Amino acid sequence: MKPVKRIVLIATMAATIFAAQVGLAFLPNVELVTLMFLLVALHLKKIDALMVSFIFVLLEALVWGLGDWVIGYLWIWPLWMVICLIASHFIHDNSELWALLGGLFGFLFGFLFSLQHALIYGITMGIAYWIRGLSFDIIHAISNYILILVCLGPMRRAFSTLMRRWEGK
Amino acid sequence: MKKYLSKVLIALFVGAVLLGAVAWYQNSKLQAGSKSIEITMIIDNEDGPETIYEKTIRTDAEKLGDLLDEMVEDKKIEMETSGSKTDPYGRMIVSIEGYATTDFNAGPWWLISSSNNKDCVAAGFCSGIDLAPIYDKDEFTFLFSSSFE
Repeated sequence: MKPVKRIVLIATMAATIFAAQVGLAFLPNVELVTLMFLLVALHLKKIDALMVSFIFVLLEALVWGLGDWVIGYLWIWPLWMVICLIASHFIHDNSELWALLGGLFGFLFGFLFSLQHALIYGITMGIAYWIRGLSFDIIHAISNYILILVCLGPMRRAFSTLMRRWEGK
Repeated sequence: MKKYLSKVLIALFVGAVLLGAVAWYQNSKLQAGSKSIEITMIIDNEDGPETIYEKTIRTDAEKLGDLLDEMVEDKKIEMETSGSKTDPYGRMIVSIEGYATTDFNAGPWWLISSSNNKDCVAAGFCSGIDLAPIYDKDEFTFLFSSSFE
């Protein structure tokens, strides 16, 4: 792919994911970001996928302001894409298994943040943060499960077609 | 969507049950000592104030008097009171840790204040120990003094 096409693709994906996040921001922990990073991880080159996540975090920080959550986003979203890449060897096209994985990731999202909190503010703070957010983690898990279950198949087909056209194949 | 409808409904049901369970747990008494109350006791000596007790206590007590009773029961402090809980103004503190009011006209008395208990702040003073509700992260200062200044 030509460099200019790569740059446009990375920027467009970051902007699309960001728009999806802002669009659903009024619903706590109901988001399409997990699903879209899953698509990015499966269809883009590793380095490009990483760039998308960093630009997405930069946009988030510009709009919502800087906080310790920015540090969390910088490693949690790439971690999710690494998990997706590893899981793609076993799951292939099974939307139900992807939905389960996405749901599990949604449930553990607060836990992953609590690890960072434990590191920065101490273990007590980490545990308190995790327990306090459990109800949000449940919402995150269920919404991820449903959205990936319903949307992954059609979005993957559309994404594959668009990527083929973009690559001029 | 139709293909997955049953799974979506099951997921929503599981989510509702789990959220209900979390809400029930957070509102239940399973979290013993859900309030954290800071208690400071100061004696107003001639050569200045002396702090004789300063601790943060976890409790489920609803009133300050209940918390003090728990502290007496756990042998954290010694306290004597006059009157009874059912009196219009509840009990009155006579002594804590041996510091006792001998003359109720001249003092010194045990005075209670709080910088952040919402009822104390709203009223400008704290009610009697059996009338004062306590909330998480409240700070109470018990001052043994002859002066209200």
